[in-house]
Order: sequence, then structure tokens, then C-alpha cells
Amino acid sequence: MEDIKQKVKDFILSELRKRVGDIENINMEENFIESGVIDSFGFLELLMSIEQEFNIHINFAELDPSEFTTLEGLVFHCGKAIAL
Amino acid sequence: MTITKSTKSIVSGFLKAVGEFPDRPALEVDDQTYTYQQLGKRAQDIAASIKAYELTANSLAGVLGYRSFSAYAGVLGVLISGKGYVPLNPEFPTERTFRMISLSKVNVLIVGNECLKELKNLLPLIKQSLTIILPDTEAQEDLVKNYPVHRYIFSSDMPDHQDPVKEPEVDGEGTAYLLFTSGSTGIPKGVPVSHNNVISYVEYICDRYDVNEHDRFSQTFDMTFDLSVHDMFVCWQREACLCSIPQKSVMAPAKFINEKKLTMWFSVPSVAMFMSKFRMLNPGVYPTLRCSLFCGEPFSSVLAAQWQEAAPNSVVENLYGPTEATIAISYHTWDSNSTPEKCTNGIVPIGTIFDGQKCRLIDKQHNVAATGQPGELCLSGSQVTKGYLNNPEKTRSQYIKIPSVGENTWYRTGDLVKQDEDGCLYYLGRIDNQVQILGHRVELQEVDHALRKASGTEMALSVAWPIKDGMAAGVVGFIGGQNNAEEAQIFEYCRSELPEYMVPRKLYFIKDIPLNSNGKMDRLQLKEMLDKGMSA
Repeated sequence: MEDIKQKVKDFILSELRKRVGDIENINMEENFIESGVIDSFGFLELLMSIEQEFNIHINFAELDPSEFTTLEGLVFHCGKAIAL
Repeated sequence: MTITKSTKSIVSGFLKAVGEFPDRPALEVDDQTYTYQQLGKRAQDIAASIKAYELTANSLAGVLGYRSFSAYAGVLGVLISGKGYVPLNPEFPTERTFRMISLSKVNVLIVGNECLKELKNLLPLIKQSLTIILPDTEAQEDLVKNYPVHRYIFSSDMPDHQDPVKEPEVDGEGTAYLLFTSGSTGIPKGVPVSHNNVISYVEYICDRYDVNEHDRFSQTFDMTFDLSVHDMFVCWQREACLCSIPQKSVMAPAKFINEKKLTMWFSVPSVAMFMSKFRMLNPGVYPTLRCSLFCGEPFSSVLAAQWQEAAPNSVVENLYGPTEATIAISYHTWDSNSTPEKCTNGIVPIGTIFDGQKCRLIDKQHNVAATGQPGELCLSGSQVTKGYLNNPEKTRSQYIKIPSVGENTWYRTGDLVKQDEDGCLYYLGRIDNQVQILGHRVELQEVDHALRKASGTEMALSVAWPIKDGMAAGVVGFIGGQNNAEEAQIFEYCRSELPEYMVPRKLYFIKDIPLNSNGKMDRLQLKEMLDKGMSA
């Protein structure tokens, strides 16, 4: 599981780097959108590329955005979907 | 017939509820529930502070608050004091908020604790003496010391009012709230909306949706967006409960809707678009909703159909209306059988004008357009405002007489529409350069203006882009010619001048900005370049 999570995290960071440039100071618990790292449309695009890359469908229906708009939350929920 | 002057305030309905049903829930915010009594008490204390310290005749007061108890109590308190409120937004650039304070000439600010940081950014800019009421902030010595020109009322200084709340005496034509919309000259335009305007709207809507005390309302909109007035005052008019959605949940509020058992939903269509992409619109997932309203941008029929399936017990309606005509003025009820064939370009019609309000379509010469022909939509009636704040020129150009239809004043919306035999209106586009971005009204000239100042060249133009499901997701900027302007500096300037949704998402430096046949810089050609895949 930790392997998968690391892979997802690396992928997200590389995608973020492509989209917003320098992300050295990104914090695991920081909300991407609130802190202005990415806007909501950008986040949606990021999500689509994650789903495509790992060939997964994440079920967000039961989640509040605060649970998946941090790096930690996103990695957790993607990891869970991959492990299924 | 005798005409009695209306003296009803938009806060009257709320005050009646405080008197009759003090223990009913009025507001849920930050995981706390406040009864009508509790919210009314705080609002009354704020009103008492305003009355005690504001000695000028200014009829407006500012509220700098964000989805908090103090923000809602602040709005109510200002109204109970007999003044109109000017909503200010801590998410806006400080310069813009400062401009709103200057233009509205407010002498009183109600500030929620969540906006203390923004207040400290603002104070160095403000020269005139203000009364600053901070109902949930303990005494701050640094404020008093660094900005002694103002009078501060902290939580411990708040009066503790025990008398029953008295109805304010207001002039029905007086301002209930003052909002600012994007202005093409780079200066936001103030739109004063009267108590009579809002009461017309609220009474019509309460009857139309049979709002009652068991209803639970969503509150998705920032207070600087007039659709928030619907949330607050339609809800409180009928003793219902308002559920304020935290900003970080607004984008995709599936869990919020079900946890709070909402019955009344109101948002921009973009929210439905996000929820659709997050697979949050599965059939039957929102059984508690009985009324779902969308307003602020074109509503795609695909999303309307999905929402209807997700909320099977709900009526789904597309509302339409500019700030100048008070919140919304027309509706179309989604019907999965008949609406799809009425959609143009996959967009739900803006529908039928509310009972009691009037519309006409005019051509370029301001003559009434022939039946079935496209024309600019003009509005008249009790919901239509009287003009812009201190801007007679703009007022004259937008609030007009149409000679062939009598003495009424008509507000020109700038929206190009057509109307069928049944009176149903179809949105076709804008006659000018205004666009909707995530429901916010944006004059592209205002973005152009910022780009030109930032880059030092007149050869700069903005384009609404990309377009997703008929809605503009943002703005991009083009800078022409040999230009030494640094990209980072341009972004920085735009961020300091414009709200986030107006800041270009991307800048393109090109040699020549294409011109149209009149020799003007051509937005359309730039958009075509983007369509052809110029974006990386």
C-alpha cells in the first residue's frame, strides 16, 4: 500500500509541477484550492489525469471536498481506489 | 386612490420570526446552530452599537465578514439600525475593497473575527475616521495604537440589549443593500437595491415555492453576489433555517446536502458541473431536496437532466436576472419531456418573466423588435432598480424610455434574447463584452484595462477561455508587440487589482494582436486561435 501511495504522490507532484511550476513548499495537509496552489478547474483536470494514469474511478459521492483536496487526502483516496 | 408610502424593511420578516418563533433554528454555520432569538439578539446588539456611535446621516454601513455568525448578524444588525448594507469580501484584493468603501462612503464597518487580517490590510489605506464594530473580537491593542483615527467597538464593549427588537423605520425606496459589479472602465459600478425591490422579489418567491418553516436552505453564494440575498431573506421571511456551506465544500457539496437534509438548493450551474464530474449526481442521491434553483450563468440541459435524476423529489428551475433587476426575474421549470426540445445550443431557456414584472425586446435603434426576432432584453417593474451609484452617465445609457411603450423606465440588460409565442425567453449571448465566469459578471474591458496598465502597452486584450459546457471557466490574456513586461509582474498586478476569477489564468505574448475590419483589436479572432489549439 505504501508503494502505491508513493507512486500516486509522485505522479500528483509531477502533474502539479507541469501545471503550476515550483511546488517545493507544498504541505501535505494544506488545501490545494484554498491555498491557491491550483483552482477548482485545475483540480478537476488533475483528477482526470490521475484517474486515467492509474485506470481508476474514485467514488467522491460520500466525501466532502475537504477530504480530498489536500495532497494527503488525495493520495489516500487514490491509493484506496487502486488497491481495490 | 391614496398612495401610502411603504415603510417596510427587508428585515421585517426576520424580526417577526424572532418575536413569534424565538426557538426555531435560523442559521447553521461553522457547525453551530443559532435560533432566531440568538441571531436576533446579536443583530440587535450590533444595531444598538451602530446607533450609539454613528452620528452621521450616511444611510449605509459595510459588512466585512465571511460565512460566519458575525457576517449574518452584521447584515441583520445594519438593517435593524435602519441602514442599508454594503457587503465586503475578504477574498477580494484589498485595493478593490478599499475602493468599495470609498465609493459607498460608509462610516461604519462590521468586521467578523475571520476577517481581522483583511481589516489590518485595509486600515493603512483608510484616511477618514470610521466606527469599526468587531462583535466577536477581543480588544486588540495594536489596532488602537497603530490606527488611532478610528473608533473600535470590541466584543467586551458591545451593548447588551434586553428590550424587544423594534422594527426600523425605513423609506421603502431607500437602499437595502449596495452591490458592486464589474465596470468596463476599471472602476466597479455600484448598484443600490431598495427595500421595495427586494420585498417584491421575496414575496413572489415565497409564494411561488411555498416556502415554509420546515425548509432548510443552502447558502452557497458569497455576500458580494446578490443571489445570497435570496438565501438569507427568502429563508428568514418564512421562519426557515439557513445552512451556510463552508467555502472548501462549495465546489462539490454532496455530503453537505445530505448531512444537513437540505430541502432548498440554490447555486450557480458550475457547482452542478463539478458534482457531475465527481460522479455526485447519481440517480436518487438527494431525496430531501424539494426545490433546486440555478442562476448566474447558462444552464446546460445535460446537467439539468442529471440533477433532476439525482433529486427526484425536487422541482429544478433555471432562474435568470441581472443585479439591476434584483436577484432574478425569470424562470424556466425543467421538464424532462418538453424542455430538451426547447434548448438552444444545449442551454435551458431563461423562460418566463415573473408575474408583475415586464419585459420588451429592442433593436439597435431602441425600437421594439419584431415578434420572433432577436433583441436586447429590457426589464421594467417593481424589481427593477433606479440607476447606478453616482454615475448619471451610465444610468442614462442603461435605464431608458422606449417611446412606443409609454412612460416606464426600462433597464437594458445587454443580453441578446429571443422570445417565442408563449412568452418563453431564450438567451443568445451578450451584445457587449460581458461574460459570466463561475457565475460572476465580468466586463472583459476591466481585465483589458488591468493588462494594459500592467504591461504598459495598449496592445493587450482578454478572452473568456476555456468554455466548458457552455460556461466560461476563466480568462486568458494576450499581450501584443515587442514587450518587455515580465509575465510574473503582470500576474502580480492583476492579482492586486482584480478578484481571483478575473485574473487571467494564462498570458500569451504574440507579435501582433489581430484586428477586425474596423481596425479594432479583435477578441473573436483570438478566441478562434485558442479554439484551434493554441493553448498548450
